[in-house]
Amino acid sequence: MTTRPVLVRSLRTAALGVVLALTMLLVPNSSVNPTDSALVRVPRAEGVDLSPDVIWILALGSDARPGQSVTRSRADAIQLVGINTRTGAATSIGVPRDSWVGIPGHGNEKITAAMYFGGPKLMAKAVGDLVGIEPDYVMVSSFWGLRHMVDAIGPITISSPVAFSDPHLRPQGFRKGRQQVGGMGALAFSRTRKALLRGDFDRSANQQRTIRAIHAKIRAKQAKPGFIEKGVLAVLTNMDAQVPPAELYRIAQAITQVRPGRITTCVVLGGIGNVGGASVVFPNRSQARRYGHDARKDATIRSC
Amino acid sequence: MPRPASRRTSTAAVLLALALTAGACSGDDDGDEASDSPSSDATAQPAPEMKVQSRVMTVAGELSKRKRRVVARDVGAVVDRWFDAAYLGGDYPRKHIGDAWPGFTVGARRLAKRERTLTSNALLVDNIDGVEAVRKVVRVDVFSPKRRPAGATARFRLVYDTTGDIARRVDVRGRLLLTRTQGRWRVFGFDMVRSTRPRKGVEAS
Repeated sequence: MTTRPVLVRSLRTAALGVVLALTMLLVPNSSVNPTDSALVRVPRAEGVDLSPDVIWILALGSDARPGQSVTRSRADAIQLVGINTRTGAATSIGVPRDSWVGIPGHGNEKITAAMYFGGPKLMAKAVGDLVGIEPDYVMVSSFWGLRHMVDAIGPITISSPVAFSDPHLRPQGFRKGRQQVGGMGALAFSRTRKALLRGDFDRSANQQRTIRAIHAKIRAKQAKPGFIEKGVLAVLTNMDAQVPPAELYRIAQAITQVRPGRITTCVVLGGIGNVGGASVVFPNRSQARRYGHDARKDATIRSC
Repeated sequence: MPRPASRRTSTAAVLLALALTAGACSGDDDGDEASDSPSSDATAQPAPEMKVQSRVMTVAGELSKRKRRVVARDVGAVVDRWFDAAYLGGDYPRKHIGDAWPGFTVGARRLAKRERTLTSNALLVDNIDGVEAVRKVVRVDVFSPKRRPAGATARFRLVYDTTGDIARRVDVRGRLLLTRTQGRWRVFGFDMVRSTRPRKGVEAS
């Protein structure tokens, strides 16, 4: 007989002993007064009717400056967000702003220019052609719009995979890990590009982290009387949402039903190149299509 | 008169289901967000034809006092119709709950039907002789851009007693989500919990 099996057996026996001891401590004997403690599952029923079950929203961050049209400027952030109201799943497909794609009626251009050429509808067409999903809604927010919306709901907790800073947007920088930020911090976190190792791709991923953080905040405060109503009003005020208020309200309530554990996010990757002296991204089209194909019916991407 | 064996079995099954899923002692009557007074209703007298207490609590946007009253009344009426259809109204015992979700959109009705053991009295309908409302409260948060109410959250609480084989105090609370389109409030979503407990001093008949 070797020492190893004996050791293994001893460890198993010890582990079993610990489990039994804990069980005796934690699970009261039936002769003990059973009302001293209880573990009760409170059944919950929830659901939101939003037809179809899966809706797609193209969320755009416009780089319009004060005085410029938000919907006729370039899109700095491009996120195609899917929500499954039946399962509570959601996904976001990030598209780098410099992706070199065909824009109907305008030849090949950076995808960010589609909004400048033809507004949110052309932008939706360009993203739809790349990913294979035509969004049901397009929501456009300016820099200050995002800032005001985050300020309206209170500080959010972002989780940064690396430490980085930007001399103009955030000189004090972001540390690695979880941290609270207000509207200005959320904006800097979502806009900073040059300080990140993979530039546009990492920025797109940070935008998705901001979306997750906003969603977590909404979930945490949704039961507070009037919170959702005030939030939707802030969206209506700060975002060019071209839908009736009642429809926007339904979408907002559907977002609160999304379960954090069922959110998946991916960024369309690609190669860096140069066209006419401008740095561009040649997007991985087959990957973009795979994401679209994967998520179209249930708003879930199995793997990036 | 001895009860039929099938009904005894069914009652036992429902009691087991209540114990397993509803939490036999999972809540008291205090501390609910929809409550308008801190006092417990554990000893409240059942009131026949009890009226729902509906009030607007918060408004995002603008809404005149007159419109607030109208919203409270109209949203309260939608919620009250559901209270009656799902829990309080009709003859007991009966085999089926019927259409328990008036005022719900088609999709919301489909979702609610899937969760009918919570969103209605479907679990109890065959095992009780009657119900008595103890409390009906609705608190409304209104989304009202441009002075026009477009959406609302109705935070509700319904407490009622059942009589018969299963004598229980049932407490249903949560939120109904509504939008106002073409002048009508419709329920498009819900988020609710239910707890039950034996009624003090009452034994099942």
